Amino acid sequence: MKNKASKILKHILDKDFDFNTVIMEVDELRLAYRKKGEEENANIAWATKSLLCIHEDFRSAYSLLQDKKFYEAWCLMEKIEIAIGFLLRNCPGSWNAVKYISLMVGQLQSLYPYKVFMSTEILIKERTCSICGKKRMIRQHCGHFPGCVYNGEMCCDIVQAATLEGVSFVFDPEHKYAVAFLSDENGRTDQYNYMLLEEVIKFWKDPFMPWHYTTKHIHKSPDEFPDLTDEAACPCGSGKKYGECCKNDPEGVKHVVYTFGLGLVNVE
Amino acid sequence: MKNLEIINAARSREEWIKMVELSEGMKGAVLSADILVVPSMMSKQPIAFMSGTTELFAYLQSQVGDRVEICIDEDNYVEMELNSRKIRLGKIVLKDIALPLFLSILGGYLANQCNRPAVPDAVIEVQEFQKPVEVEFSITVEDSTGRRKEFKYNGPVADYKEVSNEILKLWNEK
Repeated sequence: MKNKASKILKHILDKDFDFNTVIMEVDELRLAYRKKGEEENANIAWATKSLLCIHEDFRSAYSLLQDKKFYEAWCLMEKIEIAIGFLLRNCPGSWNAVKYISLMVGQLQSLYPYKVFMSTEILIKERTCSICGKKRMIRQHCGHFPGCVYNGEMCCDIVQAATLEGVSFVFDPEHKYAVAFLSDENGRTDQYNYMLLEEVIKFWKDPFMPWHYTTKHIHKSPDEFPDLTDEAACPCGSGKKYGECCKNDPEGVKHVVYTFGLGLVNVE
Repeated sequence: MKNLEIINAARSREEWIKMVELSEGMKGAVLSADILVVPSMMSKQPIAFMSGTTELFAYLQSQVGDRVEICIDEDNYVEMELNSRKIRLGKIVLKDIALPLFLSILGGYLANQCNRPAVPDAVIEVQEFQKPVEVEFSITVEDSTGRRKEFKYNGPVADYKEVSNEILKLWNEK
C-alpha cells in the first residue's frame, strides 16, 4: 500500500487530478485490507484517503472564497483543520504533506471577522465505541481511543444518551461553525464585513500560490472621524464604545495596517 | 506563578466518598489509591466528570495499573462536555509519594493531546480562537499526617513543565 500511496500522491497537485475517482479507489483498497485484517496497509489507506480529502476540501474552500461564500468556506476550513489534527495524530510524519494547507487555513481563519461563537454544554450519560460497539466503561476500557485509527477505521464515541444543559457565548469555541449571526424576520442575516478576505481573493489566483501577510499598528487623528460619537463602536475594532476606548488615547484612534505579499514566511 | 492557585484546605477522601454516595464495595480501593480521580461538577446535579476523563483514566491505568482509582460507582458515571476549546483534566487527589510520577505522566498525556504543530505567531494576527491550547486541572496532594494542598492551574499547555516544577517545589516547602 505504501508504494501505491506514493504513486497516487505524486499527482495530487495536478490541475486535472480526479479526486472523486481516486478517493473511491483508495477507499476500496482500505476496505479490502480491513477485510483481510492487514492492519498496517488498511491504516496507510486510511491516511492516504484522509490526505486526499484534505486536498480536495482545500480546493473547494478556495472556490467558495472566490464565490464570496465566506461562511461556507469557513465551515469547510474547520473540517480541514480537524482532519489535519486526526491525520497528524495517527501519522505524525505527514506534516510536510499538509503543512502548506495548515498554514493557509490558519492565515485565512485569522482574517475572518468572526469573534463570538455559540457553544453547548452537554451531559453525556452513555457512549459506545464505534470500533467494537462496547459501552464505554470507566474501569474496563475497551482499548480503543477516540481519534485513533484501528485497522483502517477511526474510533469515535457514539453518544447513546445525553442532555443539553445550556448554551453559552464563547470566544474560543470547540466548534468553529457555531458563529453568532444576527437574524431578522427573513431568517439569518450575515452582518459581518469580509473586507480582508475580499482583498485576498483579488490577488490569490491559485489555491497553491502561497502568500502571507504582516500587520502593524498606526494611529489616526480623531479629526478623520467627524461623525464618531462616544456611543458608537470604536473604529479600532476592539468591540468597545469609542468613548470608552480610543477617545482617551492621546495618540489617537488605533488602526491596523495589513500588508500582503507573495510566498510563505519561512517556518519550521 | 501566573495561572497557578494554591489552596491550603481541600476535601478529604472521606468527604468525596460521602458526597458521591459511593457504594461500600468501592470504598477500600478509593481510600488506598495513590492517584484518585474525583468529580469536577459538584455544585449542580448530577455529579459529573469532565469530558475526556474516560481516556485520561485509561491512560493513567496503562501507566500505573491499579494504583489509580476513580471516586464514583460505574452506574453513576457521567461526563460534562463544556463550551470553549480547552483541555479540562478535572480534579485529581494524590498521595504525596505519587506526585513526581503523576506530574511526569500528565506531561506525557498532554504532549499526546497537543501533537498538532501550532501556526507560528509571526505569520498571523492571533485571534482569540487561535491562541495556544490551554489546560485546566486541580491536583490535591495529601500526606500521611493529614496535610493537604490543592493546586489549581488554568493556562497554556506550553507552560506545563514550569508549572509541574513549581507544584513540586511548593509541596516540598513544609
